[in-house]
Amino acid sequence: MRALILLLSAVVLILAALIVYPALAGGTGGATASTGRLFDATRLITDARAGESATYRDERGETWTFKVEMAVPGGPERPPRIRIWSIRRDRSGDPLPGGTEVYEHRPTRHGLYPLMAPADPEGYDRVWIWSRIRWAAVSWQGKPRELWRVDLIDPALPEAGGADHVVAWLDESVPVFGLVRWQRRDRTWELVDWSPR
Amino acid sequence: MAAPSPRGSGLTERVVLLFLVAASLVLGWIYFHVLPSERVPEALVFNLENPMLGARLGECVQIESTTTPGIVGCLEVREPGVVLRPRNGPERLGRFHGLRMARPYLAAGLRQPPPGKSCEESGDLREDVELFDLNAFGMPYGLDVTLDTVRPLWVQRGGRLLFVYEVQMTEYGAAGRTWFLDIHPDEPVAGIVRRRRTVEGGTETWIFLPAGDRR
Repeated sequence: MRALILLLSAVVLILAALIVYPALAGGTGGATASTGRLFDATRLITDARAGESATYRDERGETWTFKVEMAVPGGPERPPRIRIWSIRRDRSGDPLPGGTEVYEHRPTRHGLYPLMAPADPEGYDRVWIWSRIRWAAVSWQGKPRELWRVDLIDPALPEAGGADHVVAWLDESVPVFGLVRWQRRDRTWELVDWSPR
Repeated sequence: MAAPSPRGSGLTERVVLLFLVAASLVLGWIYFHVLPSERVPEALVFNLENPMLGARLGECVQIESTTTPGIVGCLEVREPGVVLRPRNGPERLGRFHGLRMARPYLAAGLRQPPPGKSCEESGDLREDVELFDLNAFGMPYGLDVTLDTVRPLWVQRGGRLLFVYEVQMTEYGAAGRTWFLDIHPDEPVAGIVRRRRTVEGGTETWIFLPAGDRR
């Protein structure tokens, strides 16, 4: 009888501890609890500052540079505006014909990614549409990293065979759009140079 | 001092034993049945798909605002549904025009059934066209908004825990306020579970509940 009492006492104490401890530790009972990584879009194009730039190179050796010429931060009544200057050069460093553009990036209309039709900034149907956001492993600069992978649709490209699919890799510490790499159609653009954020 | 009688000792032990058995049963019931429904599950991987891209014609959700309880709206995906290439879509839908130069959108119709009628029973009522920018996480079309953050979160809904992504958006303009949207890729229409916005003196909340599919 006494052994049974001792055993049941131990059971009661253990159950009580299991119930009370998580509650004290704040692990149960709350209506909500954060469970994962934060995708912080405020640290991408929205907080770009004048002077920062990022240069990308593709497999052909062509480069594409984005530079923030001017940035007007947003306020309660005024959305942010960022004046982007971009230039594309061939593998020998000469500017490509028609490869220099200046446009005002308006995150409320153009979103988080570069406008592929800067000559037509009112062509809002040219903005990329996000289809999936995930935190994923990638190899960058020869090292395994984890970055934001955003899968997108480019309405300017043909739908057939998924040709309109764009994959972008993002890191909040990278200047201008936060882009580390993006694959559009058959080309992959890799970040090769940047000036500080 | 006299030794306790074996009879009295045996009775005390039985009472203690009964108490311990009862306590074990109660605590066991609390631990194995009550707490699991409140326990926060383990973290899930961040992997969010755009709910609007999977919207199908006829999908419907019931919307209720906490500021006007009892007044229900029915939001149903209508033609032309998901428009990825507005240049090839209609020029006008309801009060929206110039849509061939619009950002990609999802088209829906909003109806208000009379009290006591469900969304399924109100299909013939007049509807107002509502559009959702495919990049704006379920925010109504036409507002000047930017995305602030997205984070995975467990929320209580109907007595159970539901995994959602909480999206924070900033709206610019005279109102200049913050919006929070709980979204899930499996929820119909725009994927919204709950939408909140800051208003003077508090928060206005809309609850979205699946309301069947009329097609």
